[in-house]
Amino acid sequence: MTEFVSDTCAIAGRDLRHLLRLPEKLIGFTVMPLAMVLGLGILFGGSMRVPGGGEYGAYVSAGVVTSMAVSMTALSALGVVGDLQDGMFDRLRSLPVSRLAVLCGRVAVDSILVVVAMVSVASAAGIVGWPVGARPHAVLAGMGLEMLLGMGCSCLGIFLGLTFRNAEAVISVVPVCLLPVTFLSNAFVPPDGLPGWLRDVVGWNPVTAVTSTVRGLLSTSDAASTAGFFGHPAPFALAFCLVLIALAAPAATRAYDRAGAAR
Amino acid sequence: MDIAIQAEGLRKRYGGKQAKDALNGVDLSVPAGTIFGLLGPNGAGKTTIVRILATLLSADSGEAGVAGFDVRRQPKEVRRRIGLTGQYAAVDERLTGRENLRLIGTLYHLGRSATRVRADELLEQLDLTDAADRPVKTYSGGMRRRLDLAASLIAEPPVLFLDEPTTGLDLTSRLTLWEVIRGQVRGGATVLLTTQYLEEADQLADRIAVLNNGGVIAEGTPDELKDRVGDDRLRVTAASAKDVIELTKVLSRFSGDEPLVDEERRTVSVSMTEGVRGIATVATELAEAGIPVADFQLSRPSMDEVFLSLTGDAPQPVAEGAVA
Repeated sequence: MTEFVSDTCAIAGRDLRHLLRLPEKLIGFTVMPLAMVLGLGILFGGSMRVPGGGEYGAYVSAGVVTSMAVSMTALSALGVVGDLQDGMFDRLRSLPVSRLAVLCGRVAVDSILVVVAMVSVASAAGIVGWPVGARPHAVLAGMGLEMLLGMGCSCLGIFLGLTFRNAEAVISVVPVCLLPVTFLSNAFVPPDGLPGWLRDVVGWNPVTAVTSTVRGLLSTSDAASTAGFFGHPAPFALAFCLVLIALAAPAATRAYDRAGAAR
Repeated sequence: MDIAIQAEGLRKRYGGKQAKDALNGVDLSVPAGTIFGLLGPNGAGKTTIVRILATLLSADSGEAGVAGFDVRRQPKEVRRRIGLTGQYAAVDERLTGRENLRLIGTLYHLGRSATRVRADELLEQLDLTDAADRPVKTYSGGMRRRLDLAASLIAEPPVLFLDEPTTGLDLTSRLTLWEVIRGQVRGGATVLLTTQYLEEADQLADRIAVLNNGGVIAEGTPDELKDRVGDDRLRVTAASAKDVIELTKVLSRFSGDEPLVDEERRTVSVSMTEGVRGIATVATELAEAGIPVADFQLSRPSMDEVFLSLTGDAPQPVAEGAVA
């Protein structure tokens, strides 16, 4: 058990160092969400009608954080492919390290990135004066949910990275799969204006559940989007994140076991 | 004597389009404290064997044990006792050399202070102290390979797998690595080494297995393998080109074989069954015949000749420019 903890910390320490020495990656999770919130909020703020009233900038903040958590899939996949290609992966697999520790280390660092994104989004929104995060415990709960989503997506990314095994495949396939998942949710656009069937798709999209829950926690109301979850997105959002982790984490560890099979 | 690495009937077939047997029943047995060389052309299955023994890959069938533990059933026990240096330097580019070694040491569960001490020792030993705190991406190829070897030595594992550890290294780095490898064996480690360099196998290995198309085609000490190829050969180089024909006549009297003549180098070689006694006689005969000699040597078949004659697709001993 202590070995597991020290292994996880060692792997996380390595991934954290990568993060600090690869500023462009960190920029992706600080400047990027900040620019998205300000850009979207100011550009579309005038023309977007937020259900239940309120600032579009505050509305889109939760969506941006959620989309960042979802994009963890691509980030983790690329990280794993990098390790596969430079042989680091073989090195790790030849060591007496539990596979789960390798997974946990990376997922831990990736979920820290979600927090980083959330903090930069919240500070951007706060500076402009959009009402985000009135109640500290609610903000923490929202952060926790986004972290869970980030962890699940990170596990999924590790699985995909180990399955595709090359960066080109990851870059061309993963975003194409993620884009509709994010866009067909209420992350960026209130679904009110959509045709009925599409509104159902958006309504039952887990990304919508997470976004709506976080919006609720950040004290911006989002009643209209949550029709798909019988008006209660939170339990669905939580359940979805946990199920995603429960499915993707074992898939990722199994892929790790098999990763030596081909070269 | 303890057997450190044992394999019986290892088979492996990779899926995919060109499905062919990567290994078709390989047996190996490496006594503890020795260096075992795996020699073979590209695609012979050397890396596949190393990956199976290092628990990175599972064999389709067959049994393998390393340091007394079953590779398939007790992989974690095996991993505690092995160090692996693969064909590609498996080090983290963004970390410094020292950070790389400390990470690996931590993951071997050496403990904090032991890891630090051992990392510094290895950096010193492999001549990386000056570069220790620079990110590995600034390292040259040779430095990476040395760091990679250091990483596999940090836990002082009883069994070392070195998959072409010196490919692409300059001579100095290669000699450093050889010395480090010999040092490990003096300390009791067992080494399984694959190499493309026949000289490396000849220099380092106690026993060699020659691998071709996924099977072991010959095994033995370097001397035993050389004996299989043929007798010692005497090579005599005439001082001037006009003497080559006369030289050939003299030498042909001492061997059942037809002498091999290399006109360009003025060298004639014959196989010698009589060894040192034969040399004395030849030298006397040449002096009596009045043929000035530029070079005179008795040598064993080289590992190159062994390798080529075993793997088959090559001329017989003393190939170059032979005119029979």
